[in-house]
Amino acid sequence: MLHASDNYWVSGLVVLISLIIVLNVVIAQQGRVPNIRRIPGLNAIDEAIGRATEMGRPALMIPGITGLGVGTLAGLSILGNIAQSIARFGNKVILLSCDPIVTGVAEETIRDAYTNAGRQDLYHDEDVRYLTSEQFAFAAGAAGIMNREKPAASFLFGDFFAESLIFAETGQQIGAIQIAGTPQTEQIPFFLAACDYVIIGEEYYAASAYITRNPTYLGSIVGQDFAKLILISIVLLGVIGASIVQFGHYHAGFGHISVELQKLLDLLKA
Amino acid sequence: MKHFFQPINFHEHPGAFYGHIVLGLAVMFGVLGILQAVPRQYRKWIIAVFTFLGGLFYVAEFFLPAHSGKNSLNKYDDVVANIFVVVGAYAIGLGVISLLQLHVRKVVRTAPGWGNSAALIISFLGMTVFGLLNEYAPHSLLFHGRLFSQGIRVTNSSVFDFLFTGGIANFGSAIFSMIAFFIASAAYRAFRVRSLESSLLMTAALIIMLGSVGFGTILTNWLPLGNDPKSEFWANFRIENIAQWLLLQVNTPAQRGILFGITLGELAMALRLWLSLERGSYFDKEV
Repeated sequence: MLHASDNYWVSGLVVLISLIIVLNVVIAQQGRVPNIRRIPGLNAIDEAIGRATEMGRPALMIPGITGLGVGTLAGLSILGNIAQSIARFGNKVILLSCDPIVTGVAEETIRDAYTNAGRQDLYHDEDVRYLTSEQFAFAAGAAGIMNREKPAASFLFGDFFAESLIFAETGQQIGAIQIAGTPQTEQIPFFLAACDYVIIGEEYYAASAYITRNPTYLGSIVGQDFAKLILISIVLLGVIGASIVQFGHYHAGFGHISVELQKLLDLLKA
Repeated sequence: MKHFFQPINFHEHPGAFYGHIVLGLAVMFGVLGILQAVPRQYRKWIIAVFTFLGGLFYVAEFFLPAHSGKNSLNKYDDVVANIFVVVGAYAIGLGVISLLQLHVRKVVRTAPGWGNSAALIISFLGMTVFGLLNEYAPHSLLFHGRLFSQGIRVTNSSVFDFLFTGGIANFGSAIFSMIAFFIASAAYRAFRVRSLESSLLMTAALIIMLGSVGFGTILTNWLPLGNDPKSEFWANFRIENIAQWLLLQVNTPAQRGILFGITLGELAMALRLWLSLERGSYFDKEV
């Protein structure tokens, strides 16, 4: 689907969902802040930070391997908040980046995290490292740094691809507590197999809301939940409609309804 | 204007090539200068307006009615994409500076592992030099003579090919191939039968693996294929059909459920960024 005119039903739905999300963000920014449930994977972040501090070893962060997109920004937002907690304990963060633009934003994010925690003296420019933009060269570089510097905690939040298992398995081999989250659904099984905790699906975008309790994020989550209700309703209606169509094929009395519903389903699919 | 952002062939129009570089740099420093001169309280607004306009192009392009898959804004797609490429290209310099600063410092201090840093700097310079020579003087001769009783002709492009195809590409493949071993060790841990969940995972994985290989299908090939209504029911129990059922009726809906959530999260974040509603982290910083 390249244009709205390809399917006005879907385009209308996108506009409706967008309006619901923006409306909830604005309502939350005006002071009506909602509450959201706790995400188990995020509880583990404090545990990982505490362990790294006790062991006197750094925490490693990788914000994915793509450029500055929505997924990377969400990852950096989570990593910035984690870095602030690490800075409060006086520990060191190593952030590895695969993209020059992301490196610049990551430097600002980590520096701000240390400044906000009142420990700017602990931040060093070489803690945020741009390695290379080549996928497997980056994977090799990151694995090498993990083996040499032995971080006690590893946070993988961003867009990952085939190299995800290299990071996760290397972290596992050096005994780091690993917490990961990615919007790339194909990589979630790899992280589940090799990491201690994994943030799945929309939890990845809800993580910042939970950590910061920022009204904008919380409002956005509520908007997303309303949108999810709409989508679930459509899916249920589709299932019921498709079932009636199938039923109508076998029972003559339902033939007319079946034909009309089939037309409606075809219209929605088009 | 449309042609201004099109790539220029250096060999055909060297003057225009350098002219665009100079103009691009002038525009960049001009924009930075203007941003520096503007009072702090207005900078966020300028950035918000440019962000909104940048996103508006794609929103308008999507919602404008299209005929035969195209609308009036589609012809500017490449121009806008090229602008993003140009802006992104400036940032590469930042990455390179960050990288070199770190490794030069390590070499100067002879810190532990300084040899690796030296290798990186030499490799970086080598690839940069031969990358440029390959682009602008590919056939210039570097060496022509006999080596190990063989006639050898070395040009800029052959050195670049040696470094890129013979080096980087092979190293990349070597790292990629290591994933097979990592998959084996991760699978071993994931499939160890320790709980009800891991037992279910192990069973499902076993069925899918057996359903995908010839040996697995032999185990249940005594069951009917289901070509006639009478045997249709029993065909469901053939291992390849159970594997397909697991993949299509169990795995796919779960993946789609996750995708729904992710897509909504992406849409929400994109809206917050586009409308400058984003708060927290680096977005609240004074610019």
